[in-house]
Amino acid sequence: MAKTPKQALKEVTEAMDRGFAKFITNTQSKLSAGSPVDTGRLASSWMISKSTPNRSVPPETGIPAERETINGVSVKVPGTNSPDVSITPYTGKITMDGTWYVSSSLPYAQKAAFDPGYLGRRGGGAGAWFTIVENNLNRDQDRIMGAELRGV
Amino acid sequence: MSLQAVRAVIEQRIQTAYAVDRIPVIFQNSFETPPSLPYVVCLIDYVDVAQPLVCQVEPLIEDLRGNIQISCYAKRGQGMGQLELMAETAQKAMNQLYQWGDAVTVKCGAVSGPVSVLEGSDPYVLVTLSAPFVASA
Repeated sequence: MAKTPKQALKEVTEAMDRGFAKFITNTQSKLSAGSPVDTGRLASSWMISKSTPNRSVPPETGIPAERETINGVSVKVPGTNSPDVSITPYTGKITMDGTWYVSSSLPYAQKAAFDPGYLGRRGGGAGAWFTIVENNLNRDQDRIMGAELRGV
Repeated sequence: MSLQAVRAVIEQRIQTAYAVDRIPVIFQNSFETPPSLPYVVCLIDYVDVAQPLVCQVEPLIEDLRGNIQISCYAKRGQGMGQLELMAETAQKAMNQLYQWGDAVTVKCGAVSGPVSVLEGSDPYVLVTLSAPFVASA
């Protein structure tokens, strides 16, 4: 039986809400997975919130890496990584309305995101981890929303 | 088209853009220790290499998608002028990557930034710009 316009509209709206929720949680996961890990605090700090950014930050864990001078040479002393990075899930329902934020409020988050030297200035490794996620948001959204809408 | 060919196009254009002001550019896996300030770090990453185009005439044409990030470093405490000049150079270089007739063409999407990172106690400050790109041959 053919769908009524009202049913079709309801299904499309629900599919868009599902797709948007997947897109937001996917972005949080990608940011967490890409974050440089020392103690795991930055990777655990990405929060989803609506209307205003969630300013809470995870507690400090482990021992952060430090630079020490040994025999006149500056060397990096690795910290102890947190045994597990924990992502804080959004407890409410994510729907495609209003303004949504995926944010980290750690004071060093911006430096970790935009300074490839944060990892050691060779430029290797995951130096562009944040901009890779940022510049792929449109494609991620198209892919995820498309998959949901094709199911309607 | 190879990953190396795409990287070569981008690296050569970025290097040339900064050569005018004699600012060294660091690419991935090229320097263990950075040169003295100012300098530029250019990171090229491929995010999607599996998008063959359906084309009757040239079946081997394919798209490579990636990300360029250019971070410009300068000495702390000397104002924003040098950082902004280097950021402008990065913006122009990214916008002018595409040149008609190249064997491998690279086209940048919208450029994000410049984002300034001024906090901290490091002897340097920086601005970062980035953009997605599509390369095809």
